[in-house]
Amino acid sequence: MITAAHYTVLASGLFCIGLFGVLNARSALRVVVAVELMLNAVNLNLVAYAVTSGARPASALAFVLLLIVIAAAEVGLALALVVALSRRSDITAIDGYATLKG
Amino acid sequence: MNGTGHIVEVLAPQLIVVLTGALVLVADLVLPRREGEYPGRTWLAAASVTGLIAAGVAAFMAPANTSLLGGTLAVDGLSRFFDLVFIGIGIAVIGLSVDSVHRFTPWVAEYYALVLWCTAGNMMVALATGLFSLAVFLQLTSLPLIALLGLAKNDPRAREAALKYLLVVLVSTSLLLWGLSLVFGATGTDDMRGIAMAAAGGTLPALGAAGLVFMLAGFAFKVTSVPFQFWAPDVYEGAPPAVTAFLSVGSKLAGFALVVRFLALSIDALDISLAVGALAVASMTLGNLGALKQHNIRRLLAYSGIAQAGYILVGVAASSVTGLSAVLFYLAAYAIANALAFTVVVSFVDATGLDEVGDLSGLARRNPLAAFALAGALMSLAGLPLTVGFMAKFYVFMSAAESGLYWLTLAAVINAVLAFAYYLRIVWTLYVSDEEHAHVSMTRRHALVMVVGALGVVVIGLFPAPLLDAAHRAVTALIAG
Repeated sequence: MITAAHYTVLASGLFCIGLFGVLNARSALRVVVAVELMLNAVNLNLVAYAVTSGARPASALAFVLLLIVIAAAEVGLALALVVALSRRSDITAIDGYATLKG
Repeated sequence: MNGTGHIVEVLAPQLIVVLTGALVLVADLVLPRREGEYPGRTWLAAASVTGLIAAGVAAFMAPANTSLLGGTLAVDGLSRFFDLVFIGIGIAVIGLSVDSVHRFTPWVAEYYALVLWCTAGNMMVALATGLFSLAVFLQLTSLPLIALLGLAKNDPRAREAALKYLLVVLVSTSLLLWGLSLVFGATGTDDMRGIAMAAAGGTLPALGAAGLVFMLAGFAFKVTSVPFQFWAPDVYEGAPPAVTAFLSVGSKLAGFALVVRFLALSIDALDISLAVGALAVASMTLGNLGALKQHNIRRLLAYSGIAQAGYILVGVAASSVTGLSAVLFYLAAYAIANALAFTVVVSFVDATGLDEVGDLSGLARRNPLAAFALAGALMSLAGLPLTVGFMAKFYVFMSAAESGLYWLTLAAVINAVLAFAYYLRIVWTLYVSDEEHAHVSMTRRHALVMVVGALGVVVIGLFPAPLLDAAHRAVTALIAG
């Protein structure tokens, strides 16, 4: 019998992989991909809770649909920015950007 | 009562702002352009300001104290307070961008539209009582800001700022949403009051408590408090100054709007004084120590902003009606003073291209109005008497003492005294300098924003009662309802 707890474990694993990716990636594009994993972990978690809890709150499912759209917008913006940056300076590695500090 | 007509009537201010943004984009397509010249850009700004003023009028006329969409949005005194503050911020930011926006980006209409949509997002955040709608509206405030930072062309510092802000938004949003999903799983609801009740009743499983901690990351990012404050100095320094002004006021106040609402709804259920107090002390100390050694004026204001977030959290930690009213008063005072300081910075950077503290030396003789406005803003941020900042600090610190948090009041007072060092160093630079520098010119619009801001700092500082009453009424109504 698969319960909400199983889904939570799966989603937690997915989230941790994403977090690991964010903390380790040196390329801005890789960070964006890792963040996608984290957002999908969130979606998985929400759907699992919404479906397995007896009440089936429709608001959670509606929110997941909105989140998919928002994640798409976020990635679109991120890619546009990263592409624009790499065109102007040939740097997409994050640690190439270290002028501002102190 | 719950038809579309009702929703349009109640959300009229927000809808007007969103539609004005769309209108500006369309107008950009039809306005005539001559080679290199774009006379219509002033009209775009005028249209944006008109839309914001119309939204302000609508905010006064819209029916108060209703809830929408199954109780996930609340239109009440608190949301109206923030509507007016955010509209004021939007008008000020557009007013101080008009003369320079075409110099750092070719996309003038997009710039105004994004400022308007971000303002609408800020206003919506102040309405949300459900975490799902809150998360959506937070995106509506963050995404336009990423695009605004990305609009700046041919400036390597702006490029770096945009990339850093993008990465911080992505990570903090993911942490916030992950926390939200855990809290929802633990409580079965996204309603702020319901979650507070579950946490207070001790029925919140460990997973839900962990979720609340994750969500804190998202909030701390918005208000630039510890532990998510590290991005602010880099982004504030690199971004175009007008965008920095918007970021430092609008985005931060949106974060506090949701903190105030969450706390007001959970005030009788949760005791968070110790946790928030610790964050407040950490933010104040870190911000002030960081600001002491800064030479770049924008970077210094970023660290000052982190410290200011700490002072505001002192009032939040008091978790009482007095504390929350003091927080609202402080937010308005901070918005006026910080926007005023950045107006002078924008005007100075536009005229000279310089942004080091040393470059400001002798400004009192080179441009008396700008020097006076900046000195007034900094003294208000420092909390010297006769300014609105003094009353704000006084109310916030007193509210913490009233709640028995004497250690917190003491830490805050020590920090406020420490902060005099860097605020007054700049005022000293402005007024006491023997070096001869050229006159610094400024545009009439900048002068107008400065005069209005300086009047606000002094007049509300001398007569704080009406604003404090308004804040008090908004908070009492929220807690009683």
